[in-house]
Amino acid sequence: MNHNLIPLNDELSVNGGIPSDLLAVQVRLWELLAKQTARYTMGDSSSIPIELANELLSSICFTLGVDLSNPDTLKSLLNDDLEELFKIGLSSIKQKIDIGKQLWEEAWLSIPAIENISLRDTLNGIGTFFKRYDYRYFAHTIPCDIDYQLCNPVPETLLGVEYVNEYLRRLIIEHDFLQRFDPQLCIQILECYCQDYKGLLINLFEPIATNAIGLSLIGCSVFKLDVLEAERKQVVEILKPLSKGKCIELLCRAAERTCLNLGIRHEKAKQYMISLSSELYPRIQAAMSSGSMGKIFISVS
Amino acid sequence: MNQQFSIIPVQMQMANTLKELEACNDISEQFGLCLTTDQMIRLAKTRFRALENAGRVEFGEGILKKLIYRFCDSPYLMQNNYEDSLSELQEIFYYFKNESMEKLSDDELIDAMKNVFDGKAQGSIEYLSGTSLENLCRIIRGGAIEEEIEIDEEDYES
Repeated sequence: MNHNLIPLNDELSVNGGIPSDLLAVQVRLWELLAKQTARYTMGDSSSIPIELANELLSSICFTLGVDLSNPDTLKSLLNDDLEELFKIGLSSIKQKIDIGKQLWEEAWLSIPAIENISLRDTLNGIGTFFKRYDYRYFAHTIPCDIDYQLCNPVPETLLGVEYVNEYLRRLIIEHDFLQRFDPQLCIQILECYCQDYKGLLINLFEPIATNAIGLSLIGCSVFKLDVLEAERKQVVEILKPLSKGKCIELLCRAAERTCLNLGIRHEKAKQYMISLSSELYPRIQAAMSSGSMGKIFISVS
Repeated sequence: MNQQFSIIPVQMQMANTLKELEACNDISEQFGLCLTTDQMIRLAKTRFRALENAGRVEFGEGILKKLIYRFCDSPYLMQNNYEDSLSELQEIFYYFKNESMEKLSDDELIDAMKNVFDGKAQGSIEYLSGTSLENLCRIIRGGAIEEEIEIDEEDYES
């Protein structure tokens, strides 16, 4: 996201700003940008490339927590002491970095005993993020590679440490879920799902969680993970006559039951499972009509 | 991209530039150099054009003030070429600033430019603008310009 002044201008106009207010906001942000530039160049340079100025401005807006969709933005930018707000923003980012480091350790500690190169590379990469992250000047950036795909991706609207922390929170939910199953059983399912599950950029959680939801839907133990052909037919028998809304409702309930059976109590983790189950519907519907349910609910036999 | 900062209160910066240039006259007058109000306005406008051409954003005092302070004692600056020289020096400054990848401070770069301008270039802005950044950096480190020897083919044959 680029917090340059023209979009800022547009957004604020939409939110009822008057031209003189916009000018005042621009001047205040410009002054803060000038101070940040002087700090960045340590007073050695009176000018900087436009690209760099835009980056510094984006970082300022991120640090100030400027939410362009919020009508109160204009009020805050006009009336509050921006330098003070900026300092508060920086200390808040610092706290988020500390939280992120804890989350990163937790993600390593909860990593499932399933080999996957991109998962480990990504966690290593996030380790370097905390070394490279220059929150004073480039707080909105993510200076590391995040290759491992989550089942439920982090919204692109999040930036900097906020993105990384949310990524880690979601990853921990996935790890915690996988930890509740026999790793050998998970590996068997993953081998059937994708032969090169170790090397390819696949998500480890999704096929396992999908099978667990399927088993929960037909009232089987989620711990066996393996969905037999007969059990897939049962899933079809249950879902086929139902409307879309009813199907999604049943899948969501199955996800809730899965959490209950696995002893997952954390609300965010439950919501994560429910979000997967509601996204399953279009895939299940397509598979039911093409008779390829075996690609959704994996069988090891 | 270049337009993103165009809505910044340019008038505000323009007024500041004019004030700064007025103050510079007090110093440069000692060396027989003075800018009229029209010249100041033109130079201030050139500042924004030069920045736009170089793809840069400038805060606070522009570079003109520093250029005037450093170059006004040059024996090669005359009243009749003062405005044009400042305008060109400003453009060259931003060009070198980009070339240096932000590794040189304003003062280091201006010192090196002045060194070449008063030395090898003997007041030729064309020579200065043709000087490579490597040579400017060598000057900053206290060395001399490395001459590029051009061998005339006829001389070589004879």
